[in-house]
Amino acid sequence: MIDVSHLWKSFGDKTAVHDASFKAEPGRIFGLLGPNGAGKTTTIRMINDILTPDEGEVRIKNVIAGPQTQKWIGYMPEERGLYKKMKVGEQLLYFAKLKGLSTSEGKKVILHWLERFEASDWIKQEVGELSKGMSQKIQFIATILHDPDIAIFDEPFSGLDPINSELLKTVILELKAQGKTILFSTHRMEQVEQMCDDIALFNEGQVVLTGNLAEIKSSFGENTVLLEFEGDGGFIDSLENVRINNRSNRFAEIRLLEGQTASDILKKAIEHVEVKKFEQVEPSLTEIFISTVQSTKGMGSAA
Amino acid sequence: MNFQKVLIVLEREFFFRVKTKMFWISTLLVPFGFALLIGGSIAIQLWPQGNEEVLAIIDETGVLSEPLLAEDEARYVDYQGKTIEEGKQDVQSGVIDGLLILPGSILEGEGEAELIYKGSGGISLLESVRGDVRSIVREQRLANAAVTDEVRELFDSRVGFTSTKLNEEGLTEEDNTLFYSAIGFILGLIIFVALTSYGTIILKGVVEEKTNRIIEIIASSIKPIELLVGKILGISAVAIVQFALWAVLFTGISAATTPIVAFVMAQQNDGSEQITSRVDLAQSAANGESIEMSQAMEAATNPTASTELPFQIPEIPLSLVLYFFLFFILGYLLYSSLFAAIGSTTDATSDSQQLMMPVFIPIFMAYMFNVQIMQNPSTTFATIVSMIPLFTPINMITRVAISEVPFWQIGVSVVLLLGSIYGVLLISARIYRIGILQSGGKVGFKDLAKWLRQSN
Repeated sequence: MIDVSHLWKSFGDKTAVHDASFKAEPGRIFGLLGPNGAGKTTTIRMINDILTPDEGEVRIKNVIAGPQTQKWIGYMPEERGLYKKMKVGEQLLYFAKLKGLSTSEGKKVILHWLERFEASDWIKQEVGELSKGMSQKIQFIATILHDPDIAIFDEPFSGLDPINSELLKTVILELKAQGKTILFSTHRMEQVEQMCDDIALFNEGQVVLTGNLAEIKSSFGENTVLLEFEGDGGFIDSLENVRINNRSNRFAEIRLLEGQTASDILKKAIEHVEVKKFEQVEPSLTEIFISTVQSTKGMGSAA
Repeated sequence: MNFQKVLIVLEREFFFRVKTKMFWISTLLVPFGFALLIGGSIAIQLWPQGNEEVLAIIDETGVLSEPLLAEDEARYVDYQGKTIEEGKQDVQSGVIDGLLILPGSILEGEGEAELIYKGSGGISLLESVRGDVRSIVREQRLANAAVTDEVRELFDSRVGFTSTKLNEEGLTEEDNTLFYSAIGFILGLIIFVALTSYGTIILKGVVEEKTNRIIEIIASSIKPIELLVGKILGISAVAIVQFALWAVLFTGISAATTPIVAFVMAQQNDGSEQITSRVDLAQSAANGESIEMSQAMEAATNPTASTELPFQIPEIPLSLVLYFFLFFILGYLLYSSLFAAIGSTTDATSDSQQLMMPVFIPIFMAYMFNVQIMQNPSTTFATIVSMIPLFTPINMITRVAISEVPFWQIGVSVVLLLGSIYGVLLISARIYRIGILQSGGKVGFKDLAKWLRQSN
């Protein structure tokens, strides 16, 4: 549905996106992840035909991104905004018309969505009079009111209150159930683990890893130990050939590196603390990200 | 460019602005304010002047006080028999406002008339007293010299002077250069004000979309050039509607008030001599107004009454109105795309001041050139300046209003202006397209040059 192939984009002497390729399929949620400044937003803007790639191409339903493909996409940018002095209804109608809906179609879907979000009373209010949470809802409606086949959200959960976060999650899962293609970017790994079917990991403008999330995880094997304990966890610092990703005074997520085994760790743990839980699992996304970035860097320096 | 999308943007920009209270307030207030200003200045011109001060005459010639008293009974009082000292005391105590001393030698052309007063009345009092004294002394001296009536007539006659313009058909017409100079300057001024104010509206609109982060949603639906063109056209539609409403309202107001003004002025002309004393003035203030009003109403409804202004307003040719709209629209298109480009490079209106200067400078320059062009619209300087596209909208309309500008000059200036609009729009669109997505950091002229070369 969305086919990004060998995209390049630079601004001046800074390369923002560096040969990025990935595919997002209908009925699935695709996550772009990576730290801030990794090139996610630039890539999303190229998918939306807001920016033009220097090289490579974006195809939507096999059509090169352009005015025609813009109609198929609903896009909620990271920097969200509405006309403050415009009434909710008029504003939504304007966005609907820009996406190619007629006035009557637009009015119909606006009423439907406002009702769905229990916001029908606001239709005549100016956006500037609404609370932040309310205008966030209007923003969701503006994104999806033209019933796009593709929904793209850039950092959708940043700045949302918990209620709207849940609402958005529900909407995204509904869209998925309807067979839409969903793509969102985030720098928060746990959101991706909860929601995404496929991912692309971005680092410094490059896609360092992409594919089915479950397959990626299992390809890393069960190389991680989750340890829950009571007592002094100081021994963890003395472990060799491990990487500690997530740690509190009762819990540690330990990645086994070469030359280290789970049973060795278990032995040491029993010597020092009372073990409550010991489990060998697939690595977390954070761990996958860190090890991937390190291995590509290693490759870079070796070459 | 997809014109359907341009139309959607145009529609929003137009209706959004036309629906605001500010639009209607300014649309309604400006013509009333203008009418008030004109009415006010006419009223000040017509307001009875002088006649307020009472002056006592000590006439040492013995022959001048009588004609002076006859000249203005309300002003002059005869102080025959009183000394200058006594007169001064009366001035001091406020019994009289001034003491006019006419020495005996004045009839021989040697002495000077002297007015002793406390300064109230100002220049207009001095002017009118000087006039009175001069004419009466001259009369008396002519009488003393026993000149014949023919000579006296020579003195009284005035030399007429009138100018006549030869137009292209070889017909002579009345010369209204003064009037058209004023019209030309005012039209230039209106375009000046319109360019700066509607330009600022464009700039604010662009900055709003950028600071409110709406731009990215819009950019994911339409091309920046479509947004830019829709915005410029939408606001120009607002401007056209506003000007049309102003024209209608102003014509309406002047049509409604002309008979009243005409009547008041007619009253003033033959009524000014009737109002001769303070008492009369007070009376007319007490009930005169209502009388005048009812008479004015009558005049307005009765076509046989005098409803014509005592002077004739020269006709404003239709071609001038059309040229005004042409240069106004073209000037607006040229400058608004510049303002939009600048707006796109900034995050807040305050940031844009520095970048706005280069756009304001040519507008102000054109305005300053106009002061000179108004006085002499046909110099080489005026011709050249009015054909430079940045100045054309303001300077050419002034020239067209005042003088017969050869058609080829208008044609060339319009072609140059259209060419510049196209060029500026292309450049502005490039800056705009990149500028609207840019956030953070100050943008300088160097960056702009870089953006022009950069692809989207």
